[in-house]
Amino acid sequence: MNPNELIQRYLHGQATDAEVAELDRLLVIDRDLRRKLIVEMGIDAGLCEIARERASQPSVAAPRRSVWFSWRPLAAAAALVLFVGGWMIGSSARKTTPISEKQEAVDDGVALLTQAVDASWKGAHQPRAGSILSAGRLQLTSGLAQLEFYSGARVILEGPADLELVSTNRAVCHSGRIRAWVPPQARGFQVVSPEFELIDLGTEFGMEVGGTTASKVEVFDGEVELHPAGAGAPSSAPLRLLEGEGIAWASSGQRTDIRANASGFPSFDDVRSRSDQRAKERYAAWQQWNRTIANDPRVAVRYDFEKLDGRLIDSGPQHVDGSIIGCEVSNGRWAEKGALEFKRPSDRVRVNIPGSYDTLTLSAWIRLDTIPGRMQGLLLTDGYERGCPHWQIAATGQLRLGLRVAAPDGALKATGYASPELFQPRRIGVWTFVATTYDNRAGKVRHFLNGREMSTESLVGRQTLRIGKADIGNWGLPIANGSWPVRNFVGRIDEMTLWNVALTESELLEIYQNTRP
Amino acid sequence: MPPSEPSPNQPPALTQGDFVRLLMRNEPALRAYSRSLLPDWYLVDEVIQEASVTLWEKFDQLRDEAGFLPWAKVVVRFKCLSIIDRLRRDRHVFSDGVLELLAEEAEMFDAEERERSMQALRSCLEGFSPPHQELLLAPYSGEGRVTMLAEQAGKSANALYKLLGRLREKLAECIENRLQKEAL
Repeated sequence: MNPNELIQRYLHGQATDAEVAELDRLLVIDRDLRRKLIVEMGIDAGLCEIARERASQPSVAAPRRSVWFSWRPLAAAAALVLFVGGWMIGSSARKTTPISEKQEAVDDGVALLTQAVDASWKGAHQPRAGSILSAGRLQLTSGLAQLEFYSGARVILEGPADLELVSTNRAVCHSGRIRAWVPPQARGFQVVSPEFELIDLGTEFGMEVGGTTASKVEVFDGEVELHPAGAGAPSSAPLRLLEGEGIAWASSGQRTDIRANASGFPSFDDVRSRSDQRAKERYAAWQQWNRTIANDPRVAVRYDFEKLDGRLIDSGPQHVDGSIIGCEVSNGRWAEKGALEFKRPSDRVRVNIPGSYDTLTLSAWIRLDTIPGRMQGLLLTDGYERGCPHWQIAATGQLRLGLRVAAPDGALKATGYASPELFQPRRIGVWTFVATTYDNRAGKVRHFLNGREMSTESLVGRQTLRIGKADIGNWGLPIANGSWPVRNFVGRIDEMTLWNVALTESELLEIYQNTRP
Repeated sequence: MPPSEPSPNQPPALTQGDFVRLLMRNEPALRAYSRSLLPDWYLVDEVIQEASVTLWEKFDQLRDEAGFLPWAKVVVRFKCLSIIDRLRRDRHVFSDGVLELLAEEAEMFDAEERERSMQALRSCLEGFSPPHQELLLAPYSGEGRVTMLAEQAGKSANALYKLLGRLREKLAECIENRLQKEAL
């Protein structure tokens, strides 16, 4: 389907999920298409306005009033606003929050996904281990997932399960099996099922909704309180269940006492050991891939961050090792995988990379651990002369390749090629594969996230790239003497490769698939 | 100086009457702006209603009339993004990155440009035959209106949406031509 048709279908609410996703993908990379969409939206708004005018003219046969005509007339709206406003003044409840607070980064998360084993999710949003979860429906179709609510409660979901996160201390279990452990600081953690509302009094329990019985609760440790819910529930006193006790509800409303059986639900140890097992397998597969890729003719320089003894070893053909300054040796995508943690403004790896490149791909596995807010260096050449790339994350969260080009008057002008704002709060703390390709012959710069192309831009002025002395994770020795801007990366890096070609999306996707955690 | 102390250069405070006037004057622009971020008009109505209340609550922070529209856009944008976050679980909507880019693009439309486009739209629309005008306005004339027209014409709704798509493209071309001629 051509992009214009997609836009028309989107405008008229006819686009399927897949079509919206396709349009989204096209919009990221095509500015003209974004303009086209905005123009179409403008026409849409204009037509809506005209339709409203015509509908309010009595001479024209008015069609059935629609929801947007029922939008209360402005005068009424204004009156209501005045009423609300007046009431607010009267009750002196007017908030005085400064407007600028709107722009402050906010975290609307209620829980963190800490483990995901063979997990697949319903819907387009596929959370991964480390993802922050907002309030809303979490539908696990298969696999195991472990959540940590911000209140401290831990919950295991066994797929298929449908859990709605309501707040940091409350969830609704629509279907499936969960196991929860509630430490003292999270006492009062609530889980709601169609039959009852469970209030935890500091404990560990299992719950199943929609199995052979309508709902079932088993207490493994501590104590819970159950408040019957629904139409069939008289205002009876809450039930208290102690360790070893359980209750099963039939769909008829009939209750049966049962014995708690902790081994009937996946335990936290199970999740950990299955997740460790999966990680071991993935890591072993990566190690094998790592050995073959070192001999790949496309590799110019490769840092696999495996042996970190003060040097960062280049397993590529040139053996240009880097030296580690500061940085803590840490673990990477898998527990056994080496990584460097960059934290202080002094942390960096010094490298000196020879050669010049008409085509170049920079790729890395990174875990950004802070909301951007300022530039953070991934790989920055010391100087900023012509042909010296500055690969970094911009203050806006965009992946950016900075270069200087000669202006008509001969002066050097800074220019940059940036992706959309990829590093949103949701991506903080999550291992991410970033790549940028530079192609002087085709005249293009492209940015990729987890193997997917995010943007493509035409080069302003052609130049051959060279790197020479540079920093990984920082920008230490810029042009001017004395003080320099702080550009240190905050987070971890556990793989970085320079390729002597501009890799394509399918090549990068393949690399991503071979190296993802 | 404490911020509450009036300074001689400060314009007189805006009144409730000013608020109503400003809201009414800028409402079409705000609706158009939120439409560019939201998938349908129902949500636009919801956002505008919520935003009007927030704007009123914080109206005392506005210093002068010229600041109203940019400020209101910030509030509207914030409401749009939070409503979209809510939708995200149930249906496919644009990604955060695209929404940012679209907001950026929509930001560039100023009131004057909107007014000129609106005039061009009105005269271009007049150039279509009455049945075609009716079809172009049908999506805003009530739920199921397009389907109803299709039934009347003995066609499938899908076929009519396709025709509508072609008419919209013609309309867009006409508007663009007209605006370009004006610019010369």
